[in-house]
Amino acid sequence: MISEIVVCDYGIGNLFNVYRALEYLQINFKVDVDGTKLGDSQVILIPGVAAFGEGISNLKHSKQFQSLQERDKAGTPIVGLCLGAQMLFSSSKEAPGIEGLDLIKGSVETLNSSSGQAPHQGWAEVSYRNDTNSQLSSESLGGYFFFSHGYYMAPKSSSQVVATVEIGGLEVPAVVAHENKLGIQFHPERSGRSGLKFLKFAIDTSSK
Amino acid sequence: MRLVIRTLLQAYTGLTAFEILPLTVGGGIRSVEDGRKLLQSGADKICVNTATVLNPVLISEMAEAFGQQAVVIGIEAKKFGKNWIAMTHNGRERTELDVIELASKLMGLGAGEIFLTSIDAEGTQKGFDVELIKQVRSVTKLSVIAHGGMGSLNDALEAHHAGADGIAIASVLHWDKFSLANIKAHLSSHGVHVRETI
Repeated sequence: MISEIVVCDYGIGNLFNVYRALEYLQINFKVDVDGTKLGDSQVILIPGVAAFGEGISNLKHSKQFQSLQERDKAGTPIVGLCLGAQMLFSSSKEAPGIEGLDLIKGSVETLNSSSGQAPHQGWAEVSYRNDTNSQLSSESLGGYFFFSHGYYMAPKSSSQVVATVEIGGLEVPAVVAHENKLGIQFHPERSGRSGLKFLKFAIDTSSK
Repeated sequence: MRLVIRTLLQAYTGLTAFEILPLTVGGGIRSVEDGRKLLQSGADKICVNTATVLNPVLISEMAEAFGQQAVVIGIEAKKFGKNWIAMTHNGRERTELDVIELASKLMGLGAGEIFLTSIDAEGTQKGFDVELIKQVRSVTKLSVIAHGGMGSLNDALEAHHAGADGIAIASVLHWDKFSLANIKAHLSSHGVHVRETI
């Protein structure tokens, strides 16, 4: 079943492409700009092309920061894309001293000399981890996905890592799941057919 | 390895209407606000050359606003004697900047990717400037997209071996010399990872 979702618009980044993908998938959605609509739907989607500091600052200014934490306590499924996923964490090296939503324990770390490329740019396949208890299947994560990120999710609990991506010899989380939260490092809305297929699967799975 | 198709800005609005693939948009960006407008219109990354060569602070301002990953720096390299010099204004104006030195500093300034054009090779279909790619590769961990000179399927392979993360292609596609599928099949048959066509 395709549920109604709400897109958390915090005033920056690339929402146009997220809307387009949702329209293509024929998923009904609302847009929230001030936290008041976040409780109205079955799944909250947080997109993101921006920097961590500016993203969090905007979430606070719009009062969505607090609303998201409340919705999480109420158990509403939350799906974050790229920066939207990184903001679910406690902190980020991109903006030292700025607190994240803290809905997934852990930090966001810098891709640096330990990886072959920084930032990580381009198409990549991900490796599904069989020991995960996520409902996402390896089949839904098939194909190439579009990555564009200088930082990566580092959850405290490694069992929350659903899939990883290899960047010049370094394996970093590509998908992280914890209770009602799902963090996706790549951009399924910009990853052609494989991305759309996965986005639909992720939203459907989260809404169950 | 990625294949990047250069396209006209006019075509861009139409493209994004039905393609669900990433877009880097460049041309005429002079300020953070210019970049913001493009990102809000559907661009995933913005590409800036002239403005950042003249004012490098703009790179860090854009990285702070959009994240480093969204800031692509275009370098237009033209060889003078033994060195490549950075050009601006679509290769018309010469600066005093050495390309290799510039490339080595870009990551620290906040750039997220390099779009490397060889002014000498562009439009010739006689192969990429492999030496230029190698030298830029040796000084940076940024993703490097090589542009200018693609004329044969092996040229793509040579750019890859020189260290390019992606190649940008214009003429050979516009003139139907090869299809993207041809190029991808050739790379793939030589063990280079490319996304399947479609």
